[in-house]
Amino acid sequence: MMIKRMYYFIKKDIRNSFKDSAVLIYVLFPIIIAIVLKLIIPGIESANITFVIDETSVNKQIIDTLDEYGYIETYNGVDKVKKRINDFDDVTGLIKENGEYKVIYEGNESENYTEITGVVLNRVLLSTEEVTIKLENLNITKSFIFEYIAIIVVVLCILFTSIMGAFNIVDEKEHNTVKALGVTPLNLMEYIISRAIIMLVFSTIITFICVIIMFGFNINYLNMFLAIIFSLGIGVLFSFIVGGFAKSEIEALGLMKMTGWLVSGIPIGAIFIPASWQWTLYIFPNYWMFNTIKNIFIGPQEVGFLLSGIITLASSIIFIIILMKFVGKQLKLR
Amino acid sequence: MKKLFSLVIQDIKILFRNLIFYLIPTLAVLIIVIINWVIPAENEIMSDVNVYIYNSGSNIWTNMLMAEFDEENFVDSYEELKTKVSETSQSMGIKIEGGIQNPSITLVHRGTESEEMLKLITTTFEYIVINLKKLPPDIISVLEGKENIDFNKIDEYQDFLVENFKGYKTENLRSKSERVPDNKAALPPILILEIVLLGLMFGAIMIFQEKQEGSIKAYRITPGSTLMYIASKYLVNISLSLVYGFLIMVFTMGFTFNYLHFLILTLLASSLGTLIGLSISVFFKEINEFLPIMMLLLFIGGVPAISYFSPSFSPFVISIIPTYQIIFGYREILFPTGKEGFLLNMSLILLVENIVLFVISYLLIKFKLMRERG
Repeated sequence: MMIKRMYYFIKKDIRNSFKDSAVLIYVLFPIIIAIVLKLIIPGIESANITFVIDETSVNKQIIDTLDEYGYIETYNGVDKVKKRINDFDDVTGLIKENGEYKVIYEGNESENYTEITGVVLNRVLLSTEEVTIKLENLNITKSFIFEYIAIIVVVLCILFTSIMGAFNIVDEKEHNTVKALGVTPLNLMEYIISRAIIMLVFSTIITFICVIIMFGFNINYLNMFLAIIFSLGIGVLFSFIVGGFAKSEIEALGLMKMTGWLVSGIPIGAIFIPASWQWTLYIFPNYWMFNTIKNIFIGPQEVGFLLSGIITLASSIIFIIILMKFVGKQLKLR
Repeated sequence: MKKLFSLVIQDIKILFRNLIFYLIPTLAVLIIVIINWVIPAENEIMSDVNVYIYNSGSNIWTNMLMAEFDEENFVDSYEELKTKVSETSQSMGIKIEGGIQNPSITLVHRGTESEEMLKLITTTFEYIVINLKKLPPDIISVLEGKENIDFNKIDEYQDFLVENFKGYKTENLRSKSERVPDNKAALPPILILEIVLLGLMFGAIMIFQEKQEGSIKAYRITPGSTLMYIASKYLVNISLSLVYGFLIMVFTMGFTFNYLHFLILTLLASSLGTLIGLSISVFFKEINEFLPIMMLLLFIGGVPAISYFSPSFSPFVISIIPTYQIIFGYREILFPTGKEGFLLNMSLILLVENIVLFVISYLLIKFKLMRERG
């Protein structure tokens, strides 16, 4: 009977979700992000020194050689070169004055940038000596930036489905559907589980599509599915914090903005916070969600996949139990 | 003025009723805590590539490289080198054989690097090898020795090489700017996402609330004009953005920059966000429908942050996004490098964009929102 009640509730909710075009955009949006990032990230990762060269003074052979190291923009005259250098991005200017080469920087470039460009320019301008450096490719396809961004995208996929859930809850409150549910045998536990199942379905679809776009089939998708299950608690938590406390969709938007920082900010913070300070994040279930997914994309971590996942689920359930004492009164289910 | 004032009060009440006024100080505190105490001033994630070295050649290589790397960077075998590079993200290995005159150097890489990146790295090593050959014999014999390496002498000669074997002169258009701490460097993108795009959200919130309550229908029969309708929302949003912005800046940067410049840029930028929010919300009945579009706009608006953190990556398609110039504008205001005239140029561009958007939002609100049925 419990399963039947939950089944009808889930069916109703999914039907309602598809009544307007919003759900389509919720599903499409993370996919669009994944596609855009897949296109942009290789550009960021590749060395992209831009040389801005005065073609009237620098000889063509130098320009052609520098073309092997980055992008070349040529300008007619020193003034135009300097004007280009003043733009917001980092570029390296090259002119020839009185027979000597001169490199022009804006002055706000990082030390790393000027060092790298300096080495390249010295090599190209100064020495024709042949030196052979062999390369050995280990063919490890995972990339550093992409790994971390992929984790954030997966977190966003789960967040998006919980936003959908949150707005459905608010919609039920606004239309008094939740009062009607209150006189049915459906109890709070069944309500939560039903919502979790809906989130699981949508999260899995959206996350899998995004990860396939970004990584193809080089990922352990069974672990990915398990990670989504482990992270359901966080989705439910976020959904009920926003949907449970907001009286209107507009209030939900405000609450979403506030709590969104915590939900997505903790994983982003975990990337930047030094290892010695990571313990400050241990209390947050989404930190462990981040670690679970990190085990999939980056490789085995100090706390492994299964343990991280269990901690994620367990800690989020604890928070849900605490939250339900407050939200339960709002929803007035059995 | 009285009509405008009552509209402003009405809009403020809408934001109050929907917890927005509590949102601003809460978020400001959160951001202040994150900038001051969470993000480190120098974060490890952006630090250099991990380099592992296996030297089976002359001692000179180890002794030279010890000046730059720690003992943990050196491994005892080629297999260990490959294992370390495989297991560590953002890493590279160097295998060295032979002496200075005929070295054999192999760069072991993970395979994710682009051709240009590999070219840069091999060039760096070519440069090192060529310069090592130029070292005087007394230094070479010191470096070949196993004990009592004077690393100061090596540093001296590195400086000597840098100064005397440079193929070019250098000019900086402005004096070299100081390194910005990583936590403070995060402020411009945060200002874009929170302050500029907040206007997008709040402008829409007010319109949707009024649609829900039927206030727009009531407004149509009042003597109030569309201009006044827009002006009240505009004023409330701009004021909120300024308060929010100043709260964050005072407690993160103190009074270390020009607040007047900050005021001008924030005014123009948040006004842009407000007008976009007002314009687009006209097309949707409920906020639930608008939300994904808002997120898409937030994402697009946030994309220039990529170029901000990676300044040599600024493709045209990113540079035309309005927040691109705003993010760099904030960078120049908060961490001045002496860029002359930029604020004026940027303000003029933003002013023109604001005027165009104002006309668009006026027309949309007058001819669509104010004439909508239901």
